[in-house]
Amino acid sequence: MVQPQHRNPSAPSQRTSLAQLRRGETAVIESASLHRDDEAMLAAMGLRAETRVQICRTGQPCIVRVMGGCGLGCRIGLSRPVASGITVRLDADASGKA
Amino acid sequence: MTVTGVEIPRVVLLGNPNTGKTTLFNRLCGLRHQTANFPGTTQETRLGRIRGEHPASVIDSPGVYALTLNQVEAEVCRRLLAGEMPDRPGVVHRPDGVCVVVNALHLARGLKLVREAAAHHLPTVVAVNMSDVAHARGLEIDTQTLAESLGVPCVSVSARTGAGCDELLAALDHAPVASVPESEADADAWAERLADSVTRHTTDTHATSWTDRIDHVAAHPVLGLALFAAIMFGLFWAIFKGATWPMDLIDSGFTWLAGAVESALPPGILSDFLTGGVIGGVGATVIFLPQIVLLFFLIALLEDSGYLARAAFLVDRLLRPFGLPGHAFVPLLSSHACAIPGIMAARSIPDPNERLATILVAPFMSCTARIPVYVLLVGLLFADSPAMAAIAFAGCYVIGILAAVLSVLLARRTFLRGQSRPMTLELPSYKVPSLRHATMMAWHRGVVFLKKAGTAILAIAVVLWWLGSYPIVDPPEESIELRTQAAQIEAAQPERAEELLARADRVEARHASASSFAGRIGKAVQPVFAPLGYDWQLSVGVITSFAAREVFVTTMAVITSGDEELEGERLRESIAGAVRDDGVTPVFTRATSWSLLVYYILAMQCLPTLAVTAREAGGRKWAFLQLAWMCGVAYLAALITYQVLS
Repeated sequence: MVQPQHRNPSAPSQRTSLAQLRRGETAVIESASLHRDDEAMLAAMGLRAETRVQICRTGQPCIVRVMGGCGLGCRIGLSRPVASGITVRLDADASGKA
Repeated sequence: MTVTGVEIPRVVLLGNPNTGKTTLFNRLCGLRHQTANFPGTTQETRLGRIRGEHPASVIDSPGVYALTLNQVEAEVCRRLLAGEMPDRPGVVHRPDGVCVVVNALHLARGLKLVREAAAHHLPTVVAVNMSDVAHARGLEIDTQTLAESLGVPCVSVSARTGAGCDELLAALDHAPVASVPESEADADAWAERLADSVTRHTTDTHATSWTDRIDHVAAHPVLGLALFAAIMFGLFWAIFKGATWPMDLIDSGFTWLAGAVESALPPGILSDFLTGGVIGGVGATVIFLPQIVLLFFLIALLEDSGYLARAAFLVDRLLRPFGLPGHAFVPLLSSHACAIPGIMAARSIPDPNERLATILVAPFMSCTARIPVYVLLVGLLFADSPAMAAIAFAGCYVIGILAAVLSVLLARRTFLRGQSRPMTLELPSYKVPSLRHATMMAWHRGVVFLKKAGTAILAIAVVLWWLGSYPIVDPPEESIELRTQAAQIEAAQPERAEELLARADRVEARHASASSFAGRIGKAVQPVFAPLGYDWQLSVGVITSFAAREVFVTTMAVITSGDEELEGERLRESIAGAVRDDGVTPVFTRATSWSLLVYYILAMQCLPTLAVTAREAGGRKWAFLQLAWMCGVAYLAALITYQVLS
């Protein structure tokens, strides 16, 4: 599994943890490092690799809007351990636009 | 859809959570449904019947995101579709059709479930629900193209308004067998591509919505908690205030019924059994029906509005350090009305250890049956200080909650160890809740509660009534003397004679209570309660409280004054003035009253709750553990309280 790295704002496509994104930012999920059942649940809810998500709220819960696969942007609340276990790459072009 | 061996077709409603599946079930079946457990699971199912032109039997399955998930809900759905899961005792066969309910706002996710269901080769219809909400938010679903792509009927419906339900029922009659689309191996890609091709965005659907704005406050670490506290305060206020008059009405109804039966039947065992055992026992439980119905009505409103999922996250932060998830919020909240529906609500907790921990500690929450005892004892302790009485009253609730979370902490670090599963919840958009849906949910919970009151609770009440009423003993000499005196002066002093007769009645009632099986048990166990400061009278009160906690007040009224009709200030005065057998020592000292209050906050004294715990937790050993732990904690805490204060 890919381990989250510290963010560098100047590097738009670097990998980081979902928990480290700011409100309004958009990112693409790369992988998740969680319990197998939790990963399966997230995928079934629409949070899987290559899914674009937008951060609606940071903290506990971290609320993300799932773009695309879920239809009209369903919101999913993630506790901090779950958000920390999801690795994303920042979608710099889309951030703040949605 | 071909009917196989039953009178009407049996259709399974399948869908993701938050698709409005249960609302659609209520819309199709109305109040005509029954509740049961899927055998061998803790999953509740509802069986309904559609009448009219398109009769069908409908099974409301648990909401699932995917049939392949490793969770109880998914297993129930898989077995139900495969014809391996009896939807009622002894009825096991494949359903005649499946109606997959998808949310028009989140079509792709629903389509994946349609694809999974198609693998079961059942006649299938897709109900595209919330189409009205989608339209309002600028989404249009082309159901005709969707139906052509899937090869099964797709009907646009709104379970909230009923729009499209007739078309859905008609489609169910002629549903073809679904087949798995073979065009694409990747289900996610297939679902997304199909959803994109049939969805038309008419406005900018990604604009910041009201939901985001409300969440900014509702999920805020400080503002969110303040809002949560305000909503909970309002909820409890509504329950305790709003349920007062229907509770009084029920109380009056049962009193009238008991009076009618008493006057219709000759005095004797049958009359006593019906009035004291059946009517009195059931009435003591059914009186809480308004609070339970109102609680579930308000919870349904909160859930339908979308707020409850946010509240679960807020509570998750508070409960997680103790080893409980936010899912435990509703069960623990419900337990403040009555632990029985609270324990049943624990079914929604996904992790088995967390569910068991919640069930075991739910009765620590101060249910409404404890309130009369709190009122009596707090009134005795703070007769001249209403402010201190109010603080002590609120403190009773706090002590119960603290005992629950600390017990969970201990359980999760010993016999219920295990990694806590972090919380992931879909947060549906906020919407105006449906009063119709909330009413039906409250009705459903009320019916379930009444069925229990009429079966297990009735049986327990009858047994405890018998213990408290038998054996019938001869009147004591004191009452015979009083009656003799009354007879002698009846002609000259009728008022005085009446007083003497009333006194004789009270003496006899007190004697009968002390001589009953419950009284004898109370005297036998008194040495156990002696370190807590209780004499035999209080011990009898504690023993009879196993019928229902509030029975303590009536028992004390009978034992201390012989008058079970005493209420309010007169009751408090009578109890405050009660003395022990030595004729000097008060029964209720400050130390004894505090000790009793602590005992009643913490003790498990509700046999119907134990019966429900045994069923929901999966064995009597858990009920015994609950009884032993709660009574043990209560005893120890009451002992310390008494020894410190005396």
